[in-house]
Amino acid sequence: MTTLSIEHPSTLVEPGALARWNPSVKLISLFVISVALLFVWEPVRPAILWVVLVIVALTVGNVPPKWLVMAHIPFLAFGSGLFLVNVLTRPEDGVWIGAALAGRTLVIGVASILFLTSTDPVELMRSLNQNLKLPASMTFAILAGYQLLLGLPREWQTIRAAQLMRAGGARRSRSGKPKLTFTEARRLVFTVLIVTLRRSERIATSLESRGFGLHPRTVYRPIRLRPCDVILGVMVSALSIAYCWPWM
Amino acid sequence: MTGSLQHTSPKIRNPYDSPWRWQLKDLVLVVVLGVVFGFIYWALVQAWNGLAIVMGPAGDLAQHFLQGGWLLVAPLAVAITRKAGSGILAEMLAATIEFVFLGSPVGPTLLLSGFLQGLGSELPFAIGRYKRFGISRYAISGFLGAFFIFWFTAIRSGWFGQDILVLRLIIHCSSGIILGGILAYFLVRAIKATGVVDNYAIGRHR
Repeated sequence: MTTLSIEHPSTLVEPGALARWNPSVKLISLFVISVALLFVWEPVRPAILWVVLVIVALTVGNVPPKWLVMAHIPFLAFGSGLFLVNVLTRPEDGVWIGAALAGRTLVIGVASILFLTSTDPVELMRSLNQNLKLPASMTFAILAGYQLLLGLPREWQTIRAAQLMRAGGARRSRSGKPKLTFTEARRLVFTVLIVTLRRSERIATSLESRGFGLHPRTVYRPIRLRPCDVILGVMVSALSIAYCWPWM
Repeated sequence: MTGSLQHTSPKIRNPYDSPWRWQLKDLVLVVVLGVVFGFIYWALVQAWNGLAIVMGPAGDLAQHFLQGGWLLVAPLAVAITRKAGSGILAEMLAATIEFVFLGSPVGPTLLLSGFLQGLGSELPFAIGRYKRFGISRYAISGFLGAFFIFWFTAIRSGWFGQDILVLRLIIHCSSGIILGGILAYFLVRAIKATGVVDNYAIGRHR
């Protein structure tokens, strides 16, 4: 069995200038861009924005070109589906609106890549706690849950191996590989879920026994919100709203 | 449980039974559910992407059949912890995990979708003051979750003006009722039977 692994994009890319931008402000700016784009119903503006973002990704963002192309595959699949459906179901303006939707998917996709490659999830959670004042119990529980998630593929394989031992070997497909039947898959997913729930109670107990949830908390290595973080955030948000505003 | 007082006098209730009293345990459970289901949803999106490529334009309709699957975590979280806001929180966390940690192509508007799905799914349980958990309530929960998210996705993807809007709505809501409602009911029952959630609100109500 090959080992499945989950890797975060930020570990694969050399941190660029965007990595220094405060994660919370970055997230809010990205959110504003994505929502502003919902009001654009023609393909020209998304196309220009896409070109700009790709240039930003390749220069400031340090995203390797090969990696950027690979990351486009799901967006292209998603976008082409949207395009085709609109062409087929809208007799008069399907091509135009379909292209607008596909373009929007690409722009949000590249913007998300820029965000993900420049933001370490741990930094983001700490920033959400310190700058946006989200409860520490929630952000740290998310990080604990994320660690748990990273261990899930291994858990899956252990339980699968036990399942095969008890059943006296796997059913084999025609090529001789072990086959995962539907009933087995159902049991496997359920067992993984139960193991996770049991572990969540254990996490809660250990957090509580270490005095978690007490106030006030002190912070090791605070994440600062500098004026330039905010200025950049306001500029990006205002520009994207102005850009997507239906002027005509 | 502190002593015999609780057993002899039925008037004294466990203060943590109130939907407004969150324990750290409840919060961690909801977060962990959100994380695990965030991963499952992400896998579901990958499956749907593959399906969409194979099916071509019909792949866009495939999402409606799977839609209920994205609603599963909210009734689970509400039924186990019985806390106000747990369903919304679980769905939003699942969306966060999908986007921030796993990189979903839908982008950060996924957070809004998560909020709407959670709101729709939690509403019937909130109306029952987090005390009634019959199968029909689960079905309504699945229906409302699917119904709320339908209009948001319709605006986002420009479904208005397409000839198949009603067909979309019907498949969408049926999937919500079956996958996001009835399936959740049986899943909660199976989880409860294993005994892992005995220390939560669901275990205290027998």
